[in-house]
Amino acid sequence: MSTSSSSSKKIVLKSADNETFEIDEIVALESQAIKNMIEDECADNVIPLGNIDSKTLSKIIEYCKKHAESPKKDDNADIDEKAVEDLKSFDAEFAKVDMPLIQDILMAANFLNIDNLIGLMCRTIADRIKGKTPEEIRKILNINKNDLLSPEQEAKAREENSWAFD
Amino acid sequence: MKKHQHEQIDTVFKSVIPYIHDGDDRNSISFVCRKWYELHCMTRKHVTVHVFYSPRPSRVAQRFPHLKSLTLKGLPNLKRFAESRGKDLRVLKINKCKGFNANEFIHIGGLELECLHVQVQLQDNTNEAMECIGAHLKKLRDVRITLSMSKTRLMVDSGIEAMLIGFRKLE
Repeated sequence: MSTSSSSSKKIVLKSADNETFEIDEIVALESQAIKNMIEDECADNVIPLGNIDSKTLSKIIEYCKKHAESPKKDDNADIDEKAVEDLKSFDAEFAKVDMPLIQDILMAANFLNIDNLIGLMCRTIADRIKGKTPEEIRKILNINKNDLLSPEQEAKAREENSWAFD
Repeated sequence: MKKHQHEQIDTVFKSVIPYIHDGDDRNSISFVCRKWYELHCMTRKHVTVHVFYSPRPSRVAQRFPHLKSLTLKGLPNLKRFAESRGKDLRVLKINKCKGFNANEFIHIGGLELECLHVQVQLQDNTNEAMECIGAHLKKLRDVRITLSMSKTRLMVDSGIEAMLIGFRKLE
């Protein structure tokens, strides 16, 4: 499998704020949605992504690039462990960004259908809200005050939790 | 932008909740905002209810309309539970129900249960009750009925036989 950039086909992605990113096709194929578009031959030279801004898109490309370059699990048993470790530490570093960006990446990864990235963002959010009170979670996720339960609704919910268990 | 934010909060919930396993965390999450409270109710598949704290069964159905699995602790009023449960319920487990009368089974004949775990007190009508679930709960695949001793020396062979004839999908 060749990942050399000189010979491979290029794909251009255009963000909501009209920035263009030229990437190797193999990097773009990390997105199942783009892969489907290419396979169905409905991808033009430039793929417009009207709901993803350039900041988010560049992060996503950084992720896809690393994951596309990294040897796949079944390729070679010898390099497996090191590559897996390397990818793990890349993912850990990658996820060290602020919560708004994490949520934007999650939304974009959903749209682009990049399974691993969705999983990484979900685990990151889950880890940040575990063991936290509702009030702390609201702060972390920047929940709008208008969206809160009314005091009556909250009382009802708390009463329900007194009889409903996992 | 408003719509986008709402979509985002939905997506975050649906994506993240599978990674939250601790019951306390899940409860905290259900209080975060209105939308999450609703989603928590709609997406909950399993719940354990302590009958002792006796919520009205209809409230369980109301709060968790898509429940697939229900564990009851204590002696339940199955009639009321069966009446308020939707067709989604597949798993019913009744724990710590000493004195449970198998007669109650006639109330769950209408459910499409695949799994039933219960401890039954031997009584005169136990055979009929077993025949009843054998005749109605055709989709049961996993059944654990623990018979607890009582003063009567009732033979339940016929009830068990009738049940086994009824259960075609037993694993």
